[in-house]
Amino acid sequence: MRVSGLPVLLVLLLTCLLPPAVQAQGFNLKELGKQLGLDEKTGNLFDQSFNTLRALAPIGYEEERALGGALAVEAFQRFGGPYNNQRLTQYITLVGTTVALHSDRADIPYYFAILNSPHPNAFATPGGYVFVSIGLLRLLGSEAELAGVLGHEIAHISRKHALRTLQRSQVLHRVSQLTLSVLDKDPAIFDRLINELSAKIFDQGLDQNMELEADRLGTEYAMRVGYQSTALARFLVRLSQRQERRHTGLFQTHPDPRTRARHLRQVARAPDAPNGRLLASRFKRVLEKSGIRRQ
Amino acid sequence: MRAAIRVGMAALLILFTQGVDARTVYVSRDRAALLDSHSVSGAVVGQVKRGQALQLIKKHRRWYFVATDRGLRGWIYRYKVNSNPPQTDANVFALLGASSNREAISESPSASVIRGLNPVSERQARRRGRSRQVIEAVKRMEQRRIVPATLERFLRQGRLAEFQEGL
Repeated sequence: MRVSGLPVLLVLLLTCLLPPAVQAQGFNLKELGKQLGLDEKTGNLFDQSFNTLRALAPIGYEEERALGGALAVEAFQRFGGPYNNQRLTQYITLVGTTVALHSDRADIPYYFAILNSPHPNAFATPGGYVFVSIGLLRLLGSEAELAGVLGHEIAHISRKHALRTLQRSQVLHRVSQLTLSVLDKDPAIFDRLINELSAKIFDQGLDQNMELEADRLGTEYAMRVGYQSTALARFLVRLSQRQERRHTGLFQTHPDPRTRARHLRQVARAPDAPNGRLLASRFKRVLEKSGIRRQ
Repeated sequence: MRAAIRVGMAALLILFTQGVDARTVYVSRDRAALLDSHSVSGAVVGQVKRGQALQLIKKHRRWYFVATDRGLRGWIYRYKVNSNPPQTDANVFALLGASSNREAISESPSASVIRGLNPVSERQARRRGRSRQVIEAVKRMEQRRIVPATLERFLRQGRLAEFQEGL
């Protein structure tokens, strides 16, 4: 197969430079290649490569937030709705916002809520939505541990872990570009994306490597704020010692807590905050004033 | 052919270097003070606003010495700036500005009219038969914002962020 240089270069350049909106309107690369003198086989090859590139193209923030918002609705639907406690929600938002402002993706807004579920769990959906169950809050012993848990979820958002799992999705191969307009006009595609992401985030959990990366980064973000670097690992050890059903909540969607704690100890950098704060009494005081009994 | 390759390379170079300026940072908080020293006890020499571009001149641990385009210079805590401009929502921040003397979190009913779940997500949630209550729960979640004075008090009391000892 002999491929002529100039048409190939032109096709490649156009692929890179075309605005997403034009790509979304069914831009036909095969037809363009034909007009520039490429044979059908080469045209097909470029068309396939173009589709792969397009599927891997980063999803825009507005699309990410639309997916995350739809998944946030699913989170409330599946996990008991919101736990309505103004004082406690304010406190979670203060700790979470502080950690998010010290994360690697501080340029987007983050939203925090408590789920009315007795099972210990925490989730993040793309676009900045972070959830923690009342069951998990009852198990925490300090603000530093809470910061570690929220940091873990913020890391999933900052590293776009859930979105990265979509790159392997067959659904995305059917669309030219994931725009708000595509999501709105094709409810079946939006539905399939929500179902795929829900299964990953709420049922199966993300890949183990992503979870371990979120532990490491979450701890790093909390340390930047000034919290004790060992808090999350300590909580995970305590969690692993609990005698409860291992197929529910955090146990179902995250790797084994002992594995996570061991990994954290191995990868944690030397603490850069010599006076790392635990803030156990402030945490306990807020829970007490909010009428929450710790376990 | 060589000319075409050169043009192509130049186009790709322009494409990938567009907007890259390693020495520019952007204010990520609604408002932030520039100080005359790298410590919270430093005197305020000026104020900067969310999204404002600053030139980074030098660093000292977790503090940046920056200059505005009007020549104002001072120190700012490094986590009050970001290398990317913030994803702003003018309505929300206008609302926050109007309520900056209020305590804690802004959760007024009027906010839900201005800001809410993306209409595309809301339509999809309705198509999926999700209840009004759970849709409203997400809207309330999105409306919560921290008033800067409350955040500062929280950090100061906990000796966190820029109030950490030994920074």
